Amino acid sequence: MVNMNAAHTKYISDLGLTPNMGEVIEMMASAPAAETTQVKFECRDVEVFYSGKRALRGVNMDVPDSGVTALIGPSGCGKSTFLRVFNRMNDTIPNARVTGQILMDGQDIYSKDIDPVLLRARVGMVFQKPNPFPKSIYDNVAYGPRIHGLAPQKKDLDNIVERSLVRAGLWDEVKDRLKEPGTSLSGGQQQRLVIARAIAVSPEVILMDEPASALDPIATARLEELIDELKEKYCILIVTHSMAQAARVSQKTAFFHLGDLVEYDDTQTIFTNPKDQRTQDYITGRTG
Amino acid sequence: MSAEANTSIHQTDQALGRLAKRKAKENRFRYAGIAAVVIAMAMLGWLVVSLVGTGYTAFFQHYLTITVTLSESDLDPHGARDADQLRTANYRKVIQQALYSRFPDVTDRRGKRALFQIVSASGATNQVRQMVYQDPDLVGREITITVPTSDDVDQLLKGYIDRNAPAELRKVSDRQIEWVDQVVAGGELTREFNWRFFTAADSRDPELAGIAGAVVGSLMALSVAFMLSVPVGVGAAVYLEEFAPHNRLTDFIEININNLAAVPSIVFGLLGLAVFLNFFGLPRSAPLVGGMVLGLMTLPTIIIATRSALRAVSPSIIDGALSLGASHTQAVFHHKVPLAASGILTGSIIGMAQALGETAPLLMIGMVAFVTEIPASIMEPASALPVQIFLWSDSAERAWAERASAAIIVLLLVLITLNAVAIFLRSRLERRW
Amino acid sequence: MNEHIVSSFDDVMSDLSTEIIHMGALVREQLVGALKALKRRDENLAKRIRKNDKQVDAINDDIEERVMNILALRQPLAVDLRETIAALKIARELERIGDLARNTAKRSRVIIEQEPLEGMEEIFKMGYVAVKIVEDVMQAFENRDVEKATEVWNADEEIDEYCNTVFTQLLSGMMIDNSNINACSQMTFVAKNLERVGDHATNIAESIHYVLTGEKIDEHRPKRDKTSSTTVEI
Repeated sequence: MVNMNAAHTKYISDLGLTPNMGEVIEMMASAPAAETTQVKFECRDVEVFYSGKRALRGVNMDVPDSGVTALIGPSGCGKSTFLRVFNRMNDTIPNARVTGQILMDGQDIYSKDIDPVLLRARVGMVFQKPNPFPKSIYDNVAYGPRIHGLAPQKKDLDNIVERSLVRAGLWDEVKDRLKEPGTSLSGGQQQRLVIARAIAVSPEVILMDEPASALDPIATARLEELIDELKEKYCILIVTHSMAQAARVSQKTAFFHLGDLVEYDDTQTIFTNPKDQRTQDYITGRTG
Repeated sequence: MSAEANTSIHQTDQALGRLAKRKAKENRFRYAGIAAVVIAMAMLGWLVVSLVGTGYTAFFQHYLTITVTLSESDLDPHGARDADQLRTANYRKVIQQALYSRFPDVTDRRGKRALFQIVSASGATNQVRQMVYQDPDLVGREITITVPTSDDVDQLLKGYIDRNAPAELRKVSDRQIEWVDQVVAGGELTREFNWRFFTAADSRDPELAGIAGAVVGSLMALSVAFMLSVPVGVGAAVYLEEFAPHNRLTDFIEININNLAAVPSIVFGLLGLAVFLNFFGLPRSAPLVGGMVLGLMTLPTIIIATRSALRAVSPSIIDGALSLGASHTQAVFHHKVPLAASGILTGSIIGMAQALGETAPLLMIGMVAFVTEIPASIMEPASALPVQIFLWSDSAERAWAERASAAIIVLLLVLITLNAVAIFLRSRLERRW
Repeated sequence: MNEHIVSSFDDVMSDLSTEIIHMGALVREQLVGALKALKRRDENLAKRIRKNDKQVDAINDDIEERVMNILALRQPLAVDLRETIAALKIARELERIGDLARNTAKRSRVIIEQEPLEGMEEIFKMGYVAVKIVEDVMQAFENRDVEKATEVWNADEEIDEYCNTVFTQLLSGMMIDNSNINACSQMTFVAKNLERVGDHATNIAESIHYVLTGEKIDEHRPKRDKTSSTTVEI
């Protein structure tokens, strides 16, 4: 043992590295720390009011930096409202008011220094019904980079469009018809086009509001596969009515009921052993 | 199960009876609908048939070919070929002599006067004057020209004046009919397409009157109205719909815009008279003022059409743009307005078509004047097509009725064209999403 | 527990539990019968028990099919999922207990052919405990009783203790009289079978606990079976 250590020390000094136990210990300590997930959003007592009526009550929740977080719950439970808090889409609704704090990487996204326009470039969104612009496929994807001035030259724009379509798994299907209207694609393709459009502005987070509810099972499967790939690079929050879908795509699941965040846990736990009776009743299809 | 099926309440005789009753009711409704459509079509058809029936003859005009001698002694006794002299010379005499030599047996004064009345007096003399003025070398020569017949002869030949009516009840005397028959037999009287109707301005003589002045006046007024109301209307609508705060003031404005759309058009004429003519001192009868009045009148229509077109744009498109980080203004101008363009355009064109047919406000600002020149600018006095129709239909001679109908046909054709353009643009611009 | 919105789902789940309860009752009968046949030296009864095991297997197959259908057609989640999977596991454990009863009945044939052994009360006491434990665990299942399930889980110690005693007795018996060897060696297997019954019942108790609480019993299972290291002084 002693000999081995001596050989090791010699080897390290040959490389010009001085063995420093403190450093080694630090490295060993920091290595597993890098694997624990960072928090992207910290929500503190988030409440949303529509014309004075409370739609969301005191939500406290940490959204991890990586992976997919699913928001489930019955209609009108506040899950879509909550999703729209993250990119301040509630701002566009007259008489909507958000209180509490939502920290994105530690910064309050509702503070005065944050312009919702730039926030929405960082937090993209995909809607329930595929909503490509009635423009060409190319222009659909290029729209975001154009308004944000991300591509100074045509070549750069071409690159962004291609990369985004590749990443959204649509490139092979549309590369020969970029000039055709985006609305000529099938529903599933349109939804992937919309995702490509969101990716094109290089967001950090993608919000999805029931993205598969208008798609057939095959298109849904493609979309879920895409979500699975995207979660490596983006923080994804998805609202879904299909519990099976939440179970398939997400790592964390939050259950909302009547404006309350009832339970938030690992997806596995939620679907095998939920703690709250309301969660249990909802996911097993029981009358609550 | 099968036993129950046999006694289902939906298979009894009563059920079949109720079904028959229900079907009869539905059929009655369908026949009522068909009847309504048939009545509407019949009335429209009647309108078109009567208009075309009275009006189409105005597109043709009868011309008499005569040989005139442009003797130097009559036209240019000094031989100077002076422009003033040539313009003021007595061409009336030239025409008269040509007619007398065609009918040498007419010698009495009354006969001669009646003979001259078979051609359009001012039409024929002006035509010869124009020719000589442009080419003075014609003096001293004998030329053959085709001049319009008088409106009475024209009406006679078109069959509107009854030859068999008692002489004192018709405007053409027996002798005149005889002369006309002679030239018809001699092949000197021809029926030609009435180009003058489309190229001339108004005139006291029906056979010389045309709609060009009115059409140009209308187009000028319409252009002014378009340039005034479309930018202002669309701008106001976009602002009110997308950017204005929702408060009592905007509610008040909205109510008033909706009310303005229902205000009688003559009120706008009064406004034009009071504000544009009396207060700003703009020229009377000018297409500029007419256009401004028509523009004001169309404004509420365009605002309402634009707002409903904007509201019809799917909000999901706007959500998509906003979610990418487009500002509200960008979302509106990049997506909402272009998508609403077909609706805005349709509304504008329908508003313009409405303005084109409008008479009342133009009466108030003096565009009802008798204008024999085609206006050269929007500041010059002009008439408008519907006003022209109004004026002609008010005149006594039989020939005016035919011309008024023809002008209505032209007006309807212009309106149909405008609507066709609207439909075409809508189908071009409209995209499904 | 609230009812499902789709009431046919409730029906399917309750049918499944009923069948498990029925299977438990049948398995208990088999075990009691096997012990009775041994005690009364009744070869006919032993034969019947051996034959009846097919019925237990058939019920197990039926339960497996039901579980498969529920998974495919109802996609159960949370408590429903745990119950469905537990049903599969419990049926499997019961089927094993049934096998053990059959095996005991099989061995009783050899034992009956031999001279009756003396002083075998302990093994029948042990049998009684095993039957009781199966009864209790099925009661815990029927009544959705976590406490009872935990009790059963702990009761396994008792049977292990019996097993040790019986094993030592049998070894001594064989030492005393060579002619006993045939019967005694079969008897050790019977004892081992009964000890295994206790183990399977414990597994069932664990499944019940998981269904009802969502948690596993995370202590080590009490194991007092020392037969693997038991020797007698020769």
